[in-house]
Amino acid sequence: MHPGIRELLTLRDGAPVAARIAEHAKACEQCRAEIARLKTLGTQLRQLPGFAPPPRTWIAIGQALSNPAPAPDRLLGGRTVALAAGLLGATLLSALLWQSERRQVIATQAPIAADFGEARAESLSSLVAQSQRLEALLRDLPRPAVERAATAATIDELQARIQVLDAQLSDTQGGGLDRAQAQQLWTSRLQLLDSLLGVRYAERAAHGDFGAPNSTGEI
Amino acid sequence: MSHFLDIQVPDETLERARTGDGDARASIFAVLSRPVYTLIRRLVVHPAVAEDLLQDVFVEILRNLQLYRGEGSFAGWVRSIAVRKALMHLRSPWHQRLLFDDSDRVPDSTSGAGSTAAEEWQDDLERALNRLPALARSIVWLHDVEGYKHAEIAQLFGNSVSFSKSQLARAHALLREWLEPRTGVLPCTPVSGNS
Repeated sequence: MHPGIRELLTLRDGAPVAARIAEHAKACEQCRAEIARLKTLGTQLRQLPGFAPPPRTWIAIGQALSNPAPAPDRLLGGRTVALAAGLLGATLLSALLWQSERRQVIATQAPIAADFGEARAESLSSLVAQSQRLEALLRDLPRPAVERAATAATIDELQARIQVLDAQLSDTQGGGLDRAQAQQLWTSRLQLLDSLLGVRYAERAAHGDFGAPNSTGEI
Repeated sequence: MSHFLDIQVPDETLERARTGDGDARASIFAVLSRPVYTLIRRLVVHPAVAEDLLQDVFVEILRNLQLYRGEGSFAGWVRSIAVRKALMHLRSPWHQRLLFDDSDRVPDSTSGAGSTAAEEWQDDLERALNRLPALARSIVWLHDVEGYKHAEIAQLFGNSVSFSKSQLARAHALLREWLEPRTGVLPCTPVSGNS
């Protein structure tokens, strides 16, 4: 009987296992091959190419660094700890409200980017309708008076990407794109809007702006 | 092993960066931003979130350079901050649903026509990695690539060593299932049900 993958991984890493498992693996060609495969896979994972950071990141970091950092003694004060605990609770509450609201929208209407595999197969009109619903949610989400530079940069970037997609989509009306291309662009637009909504809500929560759901259930 | 272990930042650069020297800070960013961003992308996958976390990590590092006292490598200290930030994000309730979907949100970086077998294999591996659940993906990356021990991962996740081992096994079982047709290696039949 062969050991399970957990024991084989332990053997791969040279950590101790039960004697009977070690003896089996030593004698079993199939297990030795599997351990060799796991070793090779580890090497291949380490050899995967890295990701280049977006060029604008350093500028955004510079802007953030130019803002004064919170003083350490304030972070350690009893009142601040209590405030942080309150903020954390409020963040969790608002996040749950957001998730609840999102689920409600997803459950009661056509899926909003919840499963992009399904979204890809959806009609153009459905994708457009979903985009409009996300835009309505974004419009109801006010921007804070003071923004974190990093978050603001991310929001700007997402909005810029949406604008680029909008420019490309405008070609559809002129017959510049076929249906499949238009569907792909709308799906991408939906993904970006969904990301933007997530970032905007996190920004709102970070600023302690926790409005209760309105009469329509929206945040 | 992790690329972080090969990265050296001269003490003089660190000293100048502590005084707020812009060039020294830029040097630190230049040498560490790619491995940090790669690590974050591997853990959280979503590019926009990873970018935000990258900014957070460097703002925290550059504001708190005085907290690094030269014990252990500087790159290792930076990595620990990046991992902590990424895992905080993974644990945050508001992003849980996004994370479940994140493999669907990242465009495939396929090599396209004319790519070599090795490049195609890398694409397959990349896709399989992104397809893993966030937790399993994080643990396989931290353990197999970054070289974290199960005890360290257990501490990071506030869980047991057995939890870390189980998640790693789960990740590898899924990777084997998805990649096996390409490996041609027969899987072992588990002797126990804990794989």
